[in-house]
Order: sequence, then C-alpha cells, then structure tokens
Amino acid sequence: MERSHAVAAEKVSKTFILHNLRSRIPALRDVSFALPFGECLAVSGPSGAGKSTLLRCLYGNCLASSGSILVSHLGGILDVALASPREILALRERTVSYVSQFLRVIPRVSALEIVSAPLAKSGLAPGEAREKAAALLARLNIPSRLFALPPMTFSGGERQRVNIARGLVREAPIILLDEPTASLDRANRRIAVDLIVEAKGRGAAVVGIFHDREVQEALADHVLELPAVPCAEG
Amino acid sequence: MTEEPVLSAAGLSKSYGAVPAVRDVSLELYPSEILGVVGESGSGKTTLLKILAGHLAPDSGEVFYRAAEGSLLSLHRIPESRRRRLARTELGFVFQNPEDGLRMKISAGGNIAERPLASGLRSFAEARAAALRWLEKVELPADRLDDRPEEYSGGMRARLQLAKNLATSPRAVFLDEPTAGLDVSVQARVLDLIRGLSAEFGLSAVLVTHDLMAARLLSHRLLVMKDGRAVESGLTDQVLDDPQEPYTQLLVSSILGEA
Amino acid sequence: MDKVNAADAGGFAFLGEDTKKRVRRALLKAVAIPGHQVPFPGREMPMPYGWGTGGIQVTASLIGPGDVLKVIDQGADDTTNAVSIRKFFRRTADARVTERTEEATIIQTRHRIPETPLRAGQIMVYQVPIPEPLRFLEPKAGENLMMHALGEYGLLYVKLYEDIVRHGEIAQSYDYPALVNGRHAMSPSPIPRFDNPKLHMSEALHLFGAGREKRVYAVPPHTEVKSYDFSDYPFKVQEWDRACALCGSRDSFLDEVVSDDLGGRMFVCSDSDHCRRKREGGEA
Repeated sequence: MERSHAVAAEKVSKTFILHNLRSRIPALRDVSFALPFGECLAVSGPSGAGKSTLLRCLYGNCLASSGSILVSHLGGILDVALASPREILALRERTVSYVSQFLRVIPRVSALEIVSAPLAKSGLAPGEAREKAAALLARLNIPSRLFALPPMTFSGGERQRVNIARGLVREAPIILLDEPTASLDRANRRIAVDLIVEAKGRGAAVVGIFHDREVQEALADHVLELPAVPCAEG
Repeated sequence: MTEEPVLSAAGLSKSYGAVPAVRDVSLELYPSEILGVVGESGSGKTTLLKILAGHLAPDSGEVFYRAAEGSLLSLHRIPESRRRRLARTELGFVFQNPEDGLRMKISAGGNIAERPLASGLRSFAEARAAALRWLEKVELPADRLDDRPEEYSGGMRARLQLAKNLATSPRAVFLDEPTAGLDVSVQARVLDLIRGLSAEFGLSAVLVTHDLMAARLLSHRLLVMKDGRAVESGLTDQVLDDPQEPYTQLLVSSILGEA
Repeated sequence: MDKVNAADAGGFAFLGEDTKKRVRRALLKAVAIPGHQVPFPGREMPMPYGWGTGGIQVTASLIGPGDVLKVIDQGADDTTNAVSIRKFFRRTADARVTERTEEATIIQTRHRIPETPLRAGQIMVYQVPIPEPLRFLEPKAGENLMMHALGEYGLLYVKLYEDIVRHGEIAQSYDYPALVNGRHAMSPSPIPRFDNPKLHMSEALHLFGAGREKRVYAVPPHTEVKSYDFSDYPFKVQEWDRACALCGSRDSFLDEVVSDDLGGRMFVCSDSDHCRRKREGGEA
C-alpha cells in the first residue's frame, strides 16, 4: 500500500455460508481498490451486488472470506481481514467512522450523548465534547429542545441526521457512509453533503454508497462499480 | 494492543459428576471491557462465570487475575482468605436473583455499606454517605436508603445489588443474567446503568445472558457457548451480524434471540 | 431435679469422670485460643435447655472439694434459677456455696458480672444461649466457621450500622459483641454491655458454656476484650441519672423494679450482694 493511501482492498471476496439452510451466498468476488486520503470512492452497482457488505467488511462488522483490506491506522498498516476483535475496536475508536443507514437506538441515551460519545471516548473533555456535538446537531437542523431526548421518538429524518452527526463529529481519517442521505429532505441533504466535503477537505478518505446521483456527483472522486454477483451456489 | 488483560482463563473444564458443564474454555478480559457470554440455558455459562469469579474451582485449567497492586494471581491457587478478600473488594458478582446477592433483612444502606465496612471503614457517617452515594448512582430514591430489600420491587433489588457490588469500586464484575425476570422497561434501565457505570468507572465485566439484545447493547466482545464449549467468539456486532458457526447462526436467527 | 443424686449420674458433681475430662479438654483448648468456640461432647442434663445446662456442665467439670460456688441470675443470688443450681451442686458435689463475690472460687452466671472486682484465681462460668455472634447476619453455620477462621468480621459493623439507622444510636444493650485478643469475635452471652469492660484485662478466668449448641469458649486472665464500635459512635456503657434506691450506689448496674402493689417503680442494684454489703458496711 502506498503511503498516501488510506485504504487498499485487494481481491476481497465474501461468501455467506448459511449452515442451517445448507446454502452459500456469494456477496463479493475479488474486489480491489486503493483510495488516497482526501478523496471519496463511491461504491455503485445493482441491488444485491454487495455494496453494503463491502462497507461492513471495511468496518470489521463482516469477515472477509479472502483477500486483504489494508488500512492506514495509527501510523502503521492494519489488515482488517486479519485483525483481532480488539484491534478492530481500536480501529473504530481512532481511525474509521461509519454512518449506517439506520441509527441503532440505545434506550434512554439522549441525542446529545450519542453524538458526543465518540469525542469523549477520544479524550475530549465532556463539556467541550457536548458543545461540539450540540453545534453539529444544530447545523443539521435538529431543534435544541430535542438534544436531551433519546432519538427513539424522533422522525426518520431526524434520527438519520443524528446518525450523520455521530459519524462526522469526530474528525476520523476514514469515513464509511452507507446511504447516509437516503431519508433526508433536499435542504438537509445539502448540509450533509457540505459536511462530507469539509471532511474530505481536511484529508479524510470517504467510502460511500449514495443512492442519489446528485450526491454522488458532488462527492465522488472515484466510482467502484460492483457487478451483480451470480446467484447462490449449491 | 500491548494492554494486559485484567482476567484471563486457560483451558477451563468442569464436570458435575459425569456431566461436563464447561469444556476447555479460554478467554481474556481487558480493562474497561465488557465481555458477553451467550448461549441457551444449560450451555455452561453460569458455571463458567462462577469459575471466573473464583466461586467455583475448575477441574482443570487456571484463571489469572491481575490484582490492583500489580501482581498476577492464579485465582484458584491463592489462599481462600485472599480469594475471599478479592471477592469483596476488587471483584463483584451480580446474581441472577437479587435475593442471593442481598441481605433481605438488612436495610439497603446496610447492604451497600457491607463491603466498605468489611474493607476497614470504621466511621458510621462515612459508611452512610457511601451508601447514599451509591444508592443515587443506581438511581434509587434517597428516601429508600433505610428500607429493607424485601420492601423493594424486583427492578429496585437488581439495582441495589449493583450498588452493593460497586461500593468498593471493583475492577471486574461478573453479571449473571442481571436483567432476567424484569419488565422490559426496567431491563433497559438496568442495562443502561451497567453501560454507564462501566464507562464511568473503567469497570471490566463478564456478562452472562441469553438476551442477545442485552449482549449487543453492552458487550464489546462476545463468547458463544454450547454444551460447555466456546463455539465462537469475536467482536459483538460481527458475531451477531456475520455469525460463522452453525450454532451461532441458529441462535441469532431464532426468534427468542432476535437482536 | 429432686430425684437426681450423685450415684445415679455416676460421679461427683453429677457428670461421669470421662465426660468431665472431655469437657476440660475442650476448655483447655478454649483457653488456648481466646474467644474461639470449641465444640464439646455435651450431654443430657436433668433440666431443660435454657436453664443453664452449658454453664452447669462447665462448672461440674471444674468444681472440686475445695471450691466455693456462687450462682447468680439477673445479678441476684436468690432467684429461682440460681437457687436450684446451687442446690444441684450442694447435692451432687457437696459444694460449699456463698453469696459473697470475693469468697467464691467459681461464679456461675447468666446475666451479670459482679460489681465487686474479680481477683486472680476466680473462675466466671457463663450460661450462654446463642454463642455465635455472626448468626444474626449470616445464618449459614459453615459460612460462620469460615468467617471466624479468616477473621472476616465486617458484618458485625453492618449490625451496628443497622442499629444506629433504626435507633439513632447503638441500641444493643445485651450480648454486645467484642473482639477477643485481637483475633476472635465473641458473643459475651446476655450480660449487659455495662459489663463488657469488666472482661477486658480481667484478673479472673471467664468460661462460656452453650448447652444447646455444645460449644465452650473462654477469656483467659489479662486478655484484651474490645467491644465493637464506630469511630464516630464509640462504645459506651449504660448510665443512669439516679442512684440505687436502696444503697445509693451511683456506679453499679440498675434494674427497674416494681416496688409496691400500686405500680410504683424504683431503680435498684441488679447485683444483690453488692447492694446488701453497701447498705451493711458501705464497703462493697
């Protein structure tokens, strides 16, 4: 992997083996790419091509069946495909941020706490973390009266904006985005795009799935087209 | 990752008569980490937990604990007096039934004060202040300090048992189905409490549960048990979202285990 | 009790020599480990438990022809229980008896330690109902043994804590737990906490016998006995804001007694020997 690269995937394959259904579901086959810092890779392809699976493999949520996923982490290189659980935890804490399609809500935890948690974890003073989190939530048009509430009761759009805030609040070197703007209205989508552009501006590498062509065009420096994967084997 | 584990176990086995309960289980627990142990009843989770906590000796294998003062102790080889002292200071054990972990006829405050008093605290005012502080930490009303646990609801007892264990600021706590038998709303509260307290005090914990939702919410890593063996382990969300073993896939896909 | 005589039971002071030997052996061990409860092969006595069978077996194992016995119950020599135990030993051991504390070589008691300071060579024998100081908090006997073995006595502070929470002070007035020789927690039988300091560094030997539970324990002479307390709730003996109505004593343990048919009450010394001698000669 070159020094300027944030992520380099080499021949990543993933097959889900469902033992109890006696079936193997291929999701990725020999996917390779290399992404420098400060640039954005859009992962594109038909539904079922394994776009989300690729992101999950990069995040360590999914175990690659073969291939390597090299990530620049704390001055060294970590192969996510081979990393131990604790290495993955450190990777997530320090290097990789992930914005999923849906916010997994934790009962009784307020929106402000959810967003400030990654900052507090990285060592920022709690007051400062909350201030920064509040500013970002405000920028994403979350009314301040909602800050202290758990997002359980929020609308889908509000919840997703909390999710984006959580993913972007910490200036992570690598950001993974899985259709982050899908449930947002035009105005808020604009703001999300601005935030991602700013992240790239400060050197973050972004790997994203964007359902919206406009968003993809505004952000992507490269496009990785995944082919439809052949159907389940045996 | 040069950090040393707080607790590590190698090759633990334990049988009850001819019936194996735990078979060759090894694991590590790191500082500030919550390790979830999941599996159905009879899978050996609770036996494993008791061995890890030093309550039950394994037939073979060893449990190593890194004491606060720095030395590495083989938990089942140190003298009983030392083990019991650790059990009431640096370690904690939260029983599935709070009645097993509480003195039902002693006031809530007396229950919480027990460990500090057993550790040498000799001032009533300080014991009481500590009891009140921990009562409030687990979100129990201050005016229930002098009530006996037998006058508490199930959810309150569960929280009181947490407070009792935390009053000596232990380094590792063993939780045996801490939310079993509680209403769903109360469960969420207890889980959130554990999560918050663990983060606030850098507490390590082994959480035994059959509730995959609880495991996902609380634990960093997960160990899946079946018939006494650890059949799969890994990062919690990876094990639940991309389980590798047939048994884990079954557990995750079963309606009861929906997470 | 009237039917019992020395011949029936097989020996001097009722017990057979073998039994006495075994009790003495247990007592020696108890003296060697102050405050530690030692099991002894207690036997059936010709009276029900609760009448002092533990104390009687200890006394029976020790008493010899040269001994002078004093028996008190509630501090008095003339209560039913004290009278019948005295009678028992007069009958079975032909024992010399006394009511005067300083004359006695063996003093069997249930509730009090005499006010008259004990001297070297005297033996106090206590009738103990419940020997285990930890039972109130931890009912499992095996766990009690373990706690004694390891000196884990934190629970006794929980009991004091509960007392202060419920009563605003340490309310336990009898059977107040103490740490013996810095090692074993002991339940000093139902003596008032007023008497606890008399155990500390005492000139006399104190032997405790629990008949129902078949245990003996001891506080040898010159042994430290420290009553449990908190730094901010130090141990205190009971105090009265009045003197004994009979002898005028201000430093003895007082009982409230009904003094007439009209429900009148007064406070008098619980130690009847002490009170009488104070009235007789001023010197107790």
